[in-house]
Amino acid sequence: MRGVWGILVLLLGPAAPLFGHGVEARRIEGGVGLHAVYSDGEPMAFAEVTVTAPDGEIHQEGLTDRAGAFLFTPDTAGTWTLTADDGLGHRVSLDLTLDEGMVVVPGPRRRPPGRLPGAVTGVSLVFGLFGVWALWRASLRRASA
Amino acid sequence: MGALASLAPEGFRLMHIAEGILSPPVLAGGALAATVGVGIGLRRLRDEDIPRAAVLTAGFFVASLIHIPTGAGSVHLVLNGLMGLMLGWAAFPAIVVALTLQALIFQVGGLTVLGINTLIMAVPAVLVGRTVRPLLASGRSARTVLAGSAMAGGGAVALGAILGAAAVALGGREFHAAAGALLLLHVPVMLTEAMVTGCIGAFLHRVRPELLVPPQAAEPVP
Repeated sequence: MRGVWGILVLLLGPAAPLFGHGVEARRIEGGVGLHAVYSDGEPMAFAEVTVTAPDGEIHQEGLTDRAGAFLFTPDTAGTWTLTADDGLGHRVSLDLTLDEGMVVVPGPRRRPPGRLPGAVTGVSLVFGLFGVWALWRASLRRASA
Repeated sequence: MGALASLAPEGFRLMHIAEGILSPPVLAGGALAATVGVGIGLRRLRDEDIPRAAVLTAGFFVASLIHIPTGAGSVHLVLNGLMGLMLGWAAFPAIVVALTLQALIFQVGGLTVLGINTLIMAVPAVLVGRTVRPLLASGRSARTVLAGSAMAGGGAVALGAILGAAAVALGGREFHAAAGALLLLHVPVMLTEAMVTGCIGAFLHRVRPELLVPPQAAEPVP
């Protein structure tokens, strides 16, 4: 009987370090990331995301979730660059500057103008441009006449 | 922690290639080809047609801002088929002006991809305009004109989606997958566009048929 135990110990002995290599999951709260949405409000779901660390190395590659969100956990302070690409010609990138506590330093936010003011500006410029073009053509015609 | 920055991609959903996807040679080639198109368009644009070009440019610019919700996402009018019918080659300068303003005002698309995006919109415009023109001649029945204009509207969007896929393929993606996805994404747009362009075409044919003859029919301007 003792011999049998001895054989078992011999067999299992070398395997012991493998069994000792357990994995444990710990919960992470929060994270830093982006939320990519198309201009019509649709989420940019399952788009390829590349996270570039402040040292220029790629930190992570992955996909946005179904809501267009992507989170990661940064490990150094500095400016991180996140890029989301849907493979159909849409690409967006976001720079996030983190302090030593891995908290985002709010930077200046450049927001495009609202739809209505933008549309009014654009339409005015369109007619202005074509008006200048027409005036120039008219002056050419007058000069040649 | 927990900062979730929300942002919109630089690029409307439809047929706009964003910056940072294509290589400099492709961008340069696109810019060159678009410049040639704009040159041809400007040479053919008669002085009396400048207001027409201005109105269509403004319409194209504004249409992209109005999103119509559908069952699956939302669509906006593109109107490049209509521009092809009414402007011919002059669709090139009209589209380049509208896209430049969209890039400058709304940070949509971008100035480096302006050439490529102009080609994606304007090449289909010129092509459908030429193809459909015989159906819009003055003696044609209202039904033929409606069908022809609708084909121009839907066809220009479909061609644009294929050109968009080709541009994405030049950026190193697989063409067939991108073309399939883009065409599928554009089905509601094609239908809307066909309906709207068909109605406008039929209406113009009835009240102002001369507006459906693009500037290129005229003698070239000096």
